[in-house]
Amino acid sequence: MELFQIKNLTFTYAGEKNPALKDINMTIEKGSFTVICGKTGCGKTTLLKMLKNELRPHGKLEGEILYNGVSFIDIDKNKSVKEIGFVFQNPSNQIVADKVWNELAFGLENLGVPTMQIRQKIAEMASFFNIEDLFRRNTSNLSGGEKQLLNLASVMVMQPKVLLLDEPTAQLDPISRDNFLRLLQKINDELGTTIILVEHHLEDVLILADKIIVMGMNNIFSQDTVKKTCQIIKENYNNFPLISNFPTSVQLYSAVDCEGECPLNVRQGKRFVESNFTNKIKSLESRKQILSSEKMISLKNVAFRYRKNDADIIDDLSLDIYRGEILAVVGSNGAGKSTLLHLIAGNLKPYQGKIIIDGKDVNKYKNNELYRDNLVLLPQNPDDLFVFDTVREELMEMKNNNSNQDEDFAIRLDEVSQDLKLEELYNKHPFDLSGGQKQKLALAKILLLNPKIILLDEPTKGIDGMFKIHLAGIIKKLQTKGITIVLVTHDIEFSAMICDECALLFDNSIINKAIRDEFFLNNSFYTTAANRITRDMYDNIITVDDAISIIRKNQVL
Amino acid sequence: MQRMIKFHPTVIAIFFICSIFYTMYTNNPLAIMLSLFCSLLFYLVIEEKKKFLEHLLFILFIIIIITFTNPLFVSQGETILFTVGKKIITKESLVYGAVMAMMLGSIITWFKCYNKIMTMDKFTYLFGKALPNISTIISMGIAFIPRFIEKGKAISLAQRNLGLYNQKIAGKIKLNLRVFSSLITWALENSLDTADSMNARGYGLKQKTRFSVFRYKIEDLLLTFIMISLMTFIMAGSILNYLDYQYYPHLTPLSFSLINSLLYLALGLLMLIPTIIEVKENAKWNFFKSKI
Repeated sequence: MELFQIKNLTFTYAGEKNPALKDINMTIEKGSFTVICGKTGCGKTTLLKMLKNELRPHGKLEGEILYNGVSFIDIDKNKSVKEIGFVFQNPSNQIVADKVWNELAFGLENLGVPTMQIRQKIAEMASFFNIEDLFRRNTSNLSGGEKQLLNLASVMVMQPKVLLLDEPTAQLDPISRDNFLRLLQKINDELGTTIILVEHHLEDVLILADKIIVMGMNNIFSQDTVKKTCQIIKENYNNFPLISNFPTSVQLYSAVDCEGECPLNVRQGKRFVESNFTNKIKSLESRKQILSSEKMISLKNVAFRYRKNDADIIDDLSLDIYRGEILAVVGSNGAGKSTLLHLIAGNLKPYQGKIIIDGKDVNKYKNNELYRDNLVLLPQNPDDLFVFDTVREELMEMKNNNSNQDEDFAIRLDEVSQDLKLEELYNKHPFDLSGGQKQKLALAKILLLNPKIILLDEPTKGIDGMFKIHLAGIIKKLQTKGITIVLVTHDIEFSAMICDECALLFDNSIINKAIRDEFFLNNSFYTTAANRITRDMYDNIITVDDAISIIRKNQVL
Repeated sequence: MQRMIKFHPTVIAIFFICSIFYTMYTNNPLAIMLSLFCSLLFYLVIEEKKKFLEHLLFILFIIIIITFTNPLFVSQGETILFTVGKKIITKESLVYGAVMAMMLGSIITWFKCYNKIMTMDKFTYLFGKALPNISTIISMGIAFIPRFIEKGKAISLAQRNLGLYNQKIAGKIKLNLRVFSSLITWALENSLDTADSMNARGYGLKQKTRFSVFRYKIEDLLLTFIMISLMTFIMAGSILNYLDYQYYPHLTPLSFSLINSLLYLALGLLMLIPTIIEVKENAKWNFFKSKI
């Protein structure tokens, strides 16, 4: 039985010429789990908002949207609010109230549900989501993951028939993301709620879905079951840039000639590799990594805490970072990764130990010397760097950093905007850019400072697989100019793509720092999916590209 | 753990309205002293020792200041104590100053207690019954302020790390102006999301109800009854002029007739209710602990 039926839908935003959605035909079955994916700006969010009256943007709409067989546009307001739930991307922005219980009750209050019933429904959902201990807390004190759980719960208390989610996990760390996805599955399995999830990062998501809708630019490229979609991807492998958003196992499956079903997770991927390929050639030629021996940043027995009576965030940490290398620091949430960067950038002062930057104690840099032609920090949220109305002004502003002579600056500005392809965005407002574009603008701003050291705080947060590859290219190119780069991240796959050395932050200190191959080949959790899939068969596989080349070499012809 | 905080918001509101109102209404020195004593006692029970001592010093300070400034401006009264320059200092104006100062001190202390006990969610609950939209807005505001501050700090840090601003005053002003303008843009931008989220959950539909975690229990009813009875008795006595007091031209002696004594007793009892509840609760806990 169909819940939604969309027939020949074309939608054009008010004031725009080109339609944002064109000739969309799709059906959503009752109780199904549908995933919608596509490039940034392909209209997937617009499509999702078409299904919720309260959120449908202004514009010209042609075609039909049927909900339970009746036209959806003039459906009763109460019904639309109650039966169709919507969860947004940003965990903080959608929270309305100051107390968790108040937030949970918000929708039901608006619907005029009697107080006794509200009490019961809230209690029920709080138990289902296991958030009872948050019940009387302030919403502002919750972590990102907890906030997103609360958002999901405050929609679920209205007992919707269908749940629409717009990239709900993009801002979450991997553990919170797992937790959130597992709850979605539970909602789908145990409550029978229909789920439509827009998501660009498909690792761990495909396995949950019944159906995948792949969008091209403003239209539907394919809509089919997961297995069939993978088949379609395989057929279009050479002409399908979206592939980098798919799980490693799907990427392997589509890259080589083979029969059989598509593997969707590491376990299935392992079986797929073992049954389709030999391991006559066990390893790839290893790249020699030559690191400079000159220390660029050096931390000696550093300890830090925010207040006298707090516990240490960083405890007795020593770390040497060499000139021209890319170091990735990984670790779980709250391990002190961002704190480490802010210590290096001189924003926080350690109570013990020394931090030496380029041969000089960090405290001895006076009057912005540290930030002039020397060290820059890209904050976790690139928005924090933007203070003007246009991209052009943002970039021109950097001229005011004293060392930038006029002519030099013009040349550098040209170079940077060409490298990052920013020219076409010059007249846009920084806040109107997409996540990836914001990241590029922020990077351009700090590159104009002519840095020797770049510190990156979670550079891949909220951006899709295609842009990640692009960003990796940009960072690699910076390295060839002799810039030292330190990034802290949750993103193991991204670290593996670019780093020379990797360090694990645990128990407030660096537990293990090793060159890339050594680090990823020895770990079993802090390593890439490609490594986990192939480790029993082959020796030194880290990235997806590695894995594809080794299995191609071992193909039985 | 405070016990008083667990009573229903209306009960708490009734208590503070009675206490603060009567403290302002009366001019009887003994009643005001009682009020000051009870408020300080309650504050001592619910606040940390250090903060209480700071508050106590502050109250003593204003009492001394007001007591001695009143006679400088008011020279009514018959009993001359001494003269300062050409100013005559009378006993009556000194006492009046002291009583007014104690009234002020007691009201401040009651408000401090109020802030500890009447948490924001209780306040919005009380408001929400009459004005549901206002209480939603207050609740949103409270939820938003910490985020606003946090974001301001993040922007300021990111901007300073660009090394564009010198450490002189001009640089600081430029930095702060930019941080502020960026913060406003951010807030507006994000409020669109919040509005969407509210609409999606039916904000603005006609039939709004109001949910709260507060339940009206039997002890709430009992306490309300006790407080209202005591207050009615006290107000009746006051309106019938039993507790009247004159400062000028000379101080009337305090009367301790049966009715007056009963009125003082009732007032003390009313204002001691929260302290008694807290102390009883503590004793109960200590008793349980000693059993374990």
